Amino acid sequence: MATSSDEQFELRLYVAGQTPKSIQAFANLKKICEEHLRGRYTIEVVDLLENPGLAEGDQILAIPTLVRKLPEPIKKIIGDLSETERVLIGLDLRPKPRQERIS
Amino acid sequence: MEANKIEPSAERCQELGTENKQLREQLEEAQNVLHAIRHDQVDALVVAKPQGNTVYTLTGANRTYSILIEAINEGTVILSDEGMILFCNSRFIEMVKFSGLPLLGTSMLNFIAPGERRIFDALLKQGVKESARGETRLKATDGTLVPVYLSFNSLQMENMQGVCVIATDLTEQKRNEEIVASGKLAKAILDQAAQAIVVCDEEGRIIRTSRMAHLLCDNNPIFHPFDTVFSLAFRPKGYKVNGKGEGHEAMFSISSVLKGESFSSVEVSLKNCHHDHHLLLNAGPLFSARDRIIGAVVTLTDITELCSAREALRTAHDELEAKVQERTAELVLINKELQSFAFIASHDLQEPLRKIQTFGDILKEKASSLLNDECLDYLTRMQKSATRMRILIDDLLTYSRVGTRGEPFSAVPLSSLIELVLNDLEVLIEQTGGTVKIGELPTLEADSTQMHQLFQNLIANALKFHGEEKPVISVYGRPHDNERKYRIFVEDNGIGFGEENVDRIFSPFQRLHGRSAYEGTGIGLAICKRIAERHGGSITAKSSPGKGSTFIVTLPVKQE
Repeated sequence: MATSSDEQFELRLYVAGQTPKSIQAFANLKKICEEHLRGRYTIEVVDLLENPGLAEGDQILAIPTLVRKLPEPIKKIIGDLSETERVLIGLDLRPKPRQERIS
Repeated sequence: MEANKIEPSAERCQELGTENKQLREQLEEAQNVLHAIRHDQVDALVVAKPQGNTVYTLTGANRTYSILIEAINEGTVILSDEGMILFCNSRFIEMVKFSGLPLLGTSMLNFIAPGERRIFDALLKQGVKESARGETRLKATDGTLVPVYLSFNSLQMENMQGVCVIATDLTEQKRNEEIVASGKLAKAILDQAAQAIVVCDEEGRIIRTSRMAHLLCDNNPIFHPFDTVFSLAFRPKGYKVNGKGEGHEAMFSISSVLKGESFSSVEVSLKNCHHDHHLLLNAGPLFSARDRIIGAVVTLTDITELCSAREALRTAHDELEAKVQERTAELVLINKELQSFAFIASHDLQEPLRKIQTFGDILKEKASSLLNDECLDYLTRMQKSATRMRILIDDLLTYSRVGTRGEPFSAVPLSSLIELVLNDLEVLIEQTGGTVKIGELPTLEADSTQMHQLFQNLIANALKFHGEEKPVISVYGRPHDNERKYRIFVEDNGIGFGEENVDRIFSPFQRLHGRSAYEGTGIGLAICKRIAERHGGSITAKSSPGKGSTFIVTLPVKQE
């Protein structure tokens, strides 16, 4: 159920100031977007250190967290996004390995 | 009717299914969070508090800034409004060369150079209010002064006013200013230099040139290889033969200089311009502080004009030499001819004169009884004339032979020579009642016969041309020209002569007095002059009428 290749991605990255992981997450995200979503993505960075209240909206607990607002459904990926495969799967950019394929 | 408690209804099943799905999703999310936390992928958590959410970071959220502060090349200090250090980075500590206990709590004034205190106070005051900037000097713990540029910015902290100071070390800058200044100096020198100066890097590419150098190039030479821009052939044209036996012109290459070779005043010619330039090349390698060759400097001086002048001079000289040789040969020939002429002439002239004398004597002897006094007188006078003519002819012959019949030079002690001369002049000395004093005289390398002649003439003259008093003559010598020459003086107290005539008396046949007053043929002094000149010397005279004369003969001690 991979997304088709012309859908616009709206991504939101929740960070806490300039913690090392926050910075890392942003860098990794940018890289992945440039490679797999060239020309069809937007990244919004929300600094929860400045505005802790904004955590409520997407029910954020751990930081950094990446939220895919569009396309729906909402997807959440937690962590510094250094495991690229996991990120791609989480964003639905890679088909999940189906059990049918094995047989 | 009671609902079946054991078997759920289809509706309930669907409800449960949805609930299940939701729970699974929530579980998945929770598991993701835990996974992320466990695998060190998060460093902050949102915690709900009564007053709202709080974010707790596991490491400092401004860690990046801390790294930045520590890493930058400027010293940063946070001061209270009274100048107490609340924070400083490691660069500042480095600047003031501090080691040991932390600086926190100490006064910044400890690190301000004496004499800069007032500037600092003013900057601080202004900086606390708003911002301030200024150049000053810090004092390091070892006493050295560090020139810095301080930038003050007001800082509002929790409950007090402070200031953030950024200190930029100007030491490097000052050093760079010196380098720039010296760079400007170097450029000024290159611009003004009258010669072409070319500076190359270690690969032989031209990096700087003087203005004159541009005149020797067709295009902009900068960054081109030296050998391409300046095609210099050694002069005189040398040829090199390579391994295959092919010959080509020996050319200058910058690579030899870059290997350490120096060239001093080597003549080269420049090939690739419109004119053929003849240049003087000076080149040497440039060394770095660690004696590594980092480039080369080449100076080219245009000597084209100099060389053509040199050539012209050489040609003119050669032509002149040839002409001189021609003339000399001619003169030698003429001289020889004159010699033989003089000899023959004198011989032919002497013969009739002798006859006149001889027959005159015979006549006197044989016809004395027949001749009266008057006639005898006539005869005598005739004979005297003939005699005089003979003497004249002899003198002329002597004069003409001074140069050619001279003897080889030998050491002649003049004192003894003068003694001999006086011997010969014995009669004259007695006749005139003269006295001759001989002073110190040297030994010279000369022709003794001619010396005899010379001094005989001079002393005879001195004796002859006396006035009322008896002749008193003095002969003495003085060294001259660093003892390479000698001046011999023949001084008399005779009648003297006007010095305006000094040239005439040394010319043949010039007599200043009539024959009746003083005897002589008038060639005596001319012979003296010729003899003196033959010896590489000269003769002159000093005198005034009625006050005597001094004849000065200058002769070299040694003959070449």
